[in-house]
Amino acid sequence: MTARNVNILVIALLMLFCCSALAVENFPPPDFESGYTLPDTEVPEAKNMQHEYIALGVLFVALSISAYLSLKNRNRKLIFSLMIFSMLYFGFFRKGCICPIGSIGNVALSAFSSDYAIPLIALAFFLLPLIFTVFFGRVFCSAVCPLGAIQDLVLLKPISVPSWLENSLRILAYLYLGLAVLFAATGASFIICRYDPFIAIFRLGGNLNIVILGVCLLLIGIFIGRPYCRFLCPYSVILRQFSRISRKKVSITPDDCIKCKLCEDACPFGAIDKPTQPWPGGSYIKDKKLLAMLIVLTPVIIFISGWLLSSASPPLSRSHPTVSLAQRIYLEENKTFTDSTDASDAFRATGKTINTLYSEASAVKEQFTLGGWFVGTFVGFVIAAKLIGSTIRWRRTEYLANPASCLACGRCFKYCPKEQVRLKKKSSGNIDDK
Amino acid sequence: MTNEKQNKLSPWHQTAVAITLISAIVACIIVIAISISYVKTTIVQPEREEQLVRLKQIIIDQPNNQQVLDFLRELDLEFRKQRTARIEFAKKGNLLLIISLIAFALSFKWASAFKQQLPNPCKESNDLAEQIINASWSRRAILAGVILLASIAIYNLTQPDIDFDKASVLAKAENENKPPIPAFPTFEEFNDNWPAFRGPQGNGVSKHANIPTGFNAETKEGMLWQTNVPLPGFNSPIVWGEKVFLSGATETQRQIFCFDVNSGELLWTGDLSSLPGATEPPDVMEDTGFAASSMTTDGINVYAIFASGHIGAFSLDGKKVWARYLGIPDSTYGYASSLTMYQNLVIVQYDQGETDDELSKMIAINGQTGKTAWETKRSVANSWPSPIVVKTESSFQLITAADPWVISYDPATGKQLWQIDCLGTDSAPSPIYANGLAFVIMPYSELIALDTNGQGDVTETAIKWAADEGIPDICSPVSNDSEVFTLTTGGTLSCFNFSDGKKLWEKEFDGEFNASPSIAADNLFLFSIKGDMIVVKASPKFEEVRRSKINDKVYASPAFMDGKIFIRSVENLYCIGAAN
Repeated sequence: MTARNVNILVIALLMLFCCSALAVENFPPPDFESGYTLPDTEVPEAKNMQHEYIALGVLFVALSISAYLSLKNRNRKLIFSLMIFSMLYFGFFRKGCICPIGSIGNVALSAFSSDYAIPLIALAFFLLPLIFTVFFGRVFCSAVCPLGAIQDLVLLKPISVPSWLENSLRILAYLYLGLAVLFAATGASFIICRYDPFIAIFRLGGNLNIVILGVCLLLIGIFIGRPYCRFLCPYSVILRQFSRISRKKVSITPDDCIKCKLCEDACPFGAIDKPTQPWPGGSYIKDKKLLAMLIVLTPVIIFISGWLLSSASPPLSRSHPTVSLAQRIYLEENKTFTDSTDASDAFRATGKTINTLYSEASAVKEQFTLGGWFVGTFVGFVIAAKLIGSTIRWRRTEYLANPASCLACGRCFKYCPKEQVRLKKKSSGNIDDK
Repeated sequence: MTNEKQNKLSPWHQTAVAITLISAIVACIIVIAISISYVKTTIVQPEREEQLVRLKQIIIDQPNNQQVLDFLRELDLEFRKQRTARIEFAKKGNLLLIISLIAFALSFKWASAFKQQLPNPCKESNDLAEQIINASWSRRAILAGVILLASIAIYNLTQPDIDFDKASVLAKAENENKPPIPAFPTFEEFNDNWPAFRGPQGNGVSKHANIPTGFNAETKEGMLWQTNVPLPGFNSPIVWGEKVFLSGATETQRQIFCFDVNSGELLWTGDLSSLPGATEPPDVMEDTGFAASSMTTDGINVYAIFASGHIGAFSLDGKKVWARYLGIPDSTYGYASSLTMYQNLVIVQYDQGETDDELSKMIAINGQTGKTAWETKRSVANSWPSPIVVKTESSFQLITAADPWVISYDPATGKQLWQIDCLGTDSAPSPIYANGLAFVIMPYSELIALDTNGQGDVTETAIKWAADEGIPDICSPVSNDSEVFTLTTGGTLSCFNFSDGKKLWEKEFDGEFNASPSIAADNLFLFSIKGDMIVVKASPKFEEVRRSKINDKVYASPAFMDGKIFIRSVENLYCIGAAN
């Protein structure tokens, strides 16, 4: 093991201790002994919207610069600098909120609940990166997303993930997206925000479990580039689809590919597609049969997936406060618990009947069952599509940045000899930026 | 010299390596420091926390143990100081840690840039075989993942789940089978008893016609029994059926007592002394004491409140049902408002502080559960009258008097019905309701007759008349629907015409009076502090009926039941009546 690797390992292990460093202590209020009554809780004044508009403006400018740097200027160093700025501003300064990833919850809730009106800022944060992606590819991921930035920063010793594993693990992001929409739509919680792995780091404190999750992802991220973005991020699922149809895409070479293979291992995110070889006859027929079988099985896969997710609705629905309270009350009523919680005491103080609570909980569970079918169907469709995709051979004659997976980080530019030629010409003043 | 060697010698590379090492060392030191701090907090500190909890328990059991109390306070303060410092330390440490880690990552990347190796374009690879293997493994991995997720889902399916529809049906059936909560008494049952301060409607009028007019303390003629009350208190007795209830308290003890109506035997004592709450006793005047508020009952439970802000309920056979701490009321002379009932709600007039303090409120507590049924804030200063629940022509009203507002509420919901700005500071006499009018007293100043049919602020329209002679400061008025009577502390008994407030007569008695006058069987009953019971005709002309005397100090208003009067002195309870 080289000294550098030892160094990385030591730091990686030490980062584990950060869990304790970032976890915030719970601090009970003092007991007053002289008849002093706690003052009424005061609701803080509404947040100054100016800061939100400034943040929206910064997001727009950052996305524009990112698009320019990725597509026109093709400068990795500047992209990296912008990324560091985004991490500091959107992450540490803005405390990671509001972010386009978390805004999925707001959008889902507003779509399914008539009681909730989405704040315009949240909607703008959700839409702006999508609009940029339609025109310029994933320029939000490249240098604007603070979650991506912090992972990119810790990527010190990248190793490649086999494409079959990458392809399979990506299903998790689709599942996460489906569940996030389900939880938000039923009013259970915004799980993307609640389980944002890096929020505790940006806020220099928070829930210990989330701190551990974030630190673990960063430890993995030392070796595997942006694990959250690639395998978990629900927003990336949407961005991937938009990026496929984007008008302009990042290209490895500024010119025609000469298939020199120099860029083959340049991408730590496995986003470079190699040229394909002609398919041997025997394997072609075998895969055609497999393809036919998978197409026939697609409805079955979708149904099974839908059934499984809908069947999992009881444990999922327990995250909803109404179901959770009803369950607690039920267990207290049945003497499983002999004590009570603040929530059960508060419920009993409302004078609401237990039957009403049970009816409400039952209605929420039904929503989860129905929603489970939709999410399961969606995930089943993705699984079927991936299985079918594995039997189809796309013809490629050159090295290409995968339009869906490419994070537009600009790492691959310098590996292309044609890019080197362009840069030399540029420095000698013969050409302008492409 | 190769590029790599050149880079190694480059001062920039050396700088990058140095920054990497330094930031790594700094990060290590910070992490170790914060971790030690965290371990101290989570492993060492909990033991001290447990010590704190133990001390708190001790202080609840021994509220007067000053030594423990002082130690507890010192420990708590020290504990909090340390924690605050540690949190501050952790916050700063976290920031430094993040900065050092960012510096480490950036310098590491910078250093690595000097050692980048060129890619190897000659690497041989079988792309076709790799593609086929990848596709195959991809399918296997997806299937493996699906099987894993399916297993989790199936495992969940086997876990027991609560069927809330079924539970709802069962709960409904169980509720139907449950023994019903005893119904609260009817208005008539209330009137048959003496369930609150000054009777069922708080007006000091008894429905019984066979109330004795005198007794002889020397010969015990007309005295059924006399019994000692274990703790002092100025509250009046209440009676339900065959039981008389009183409360008593000192700085450290709070108790309620149940006596047998027929024998005076102490049947049980309910103790509310060791409840959590303030450890310091409330600041009260000697004339108020710690148990000035009279109890109330709904025939299911009895309810008592003390100057310390503790309120509790006991069943009629002495079992504690619930107890609460409302916080020490900010009252100049000590809290003295009595409780009253509306159906199953215990009504508390919790006036405190000054008008602008917004501390005063009316609280209705569910008698069965002890939970707050409603709570309404009111802009009044600390006052001492007791609330009354009366049946007006159209509805039940909860009428309260305080400085400066007389306010009426819907007793079921706490919604304010009307209010009149007519009272002043040190308001103590309670309001009464008679024949469609409410009567309130501004101490030393005015007896005011009020219409009770308004809505909102009716200060300009609701005052029917006001009288300004012979106005008391403590005793509440009483009325027989034809006349209104007042009694001053100095012993002036005044009679006013009900319809226009014209003074009909006035009589001065020797002695001081704190007990409010009462009416029973067309007679007015007056009790002086020295123990004189003076009975006069409740009529437009003064006529004294009889005088009796007990050798005891009487501050409390009496209770009247069928053929009996219950008189509470500071130390004793007397029952006046004819032997069967």
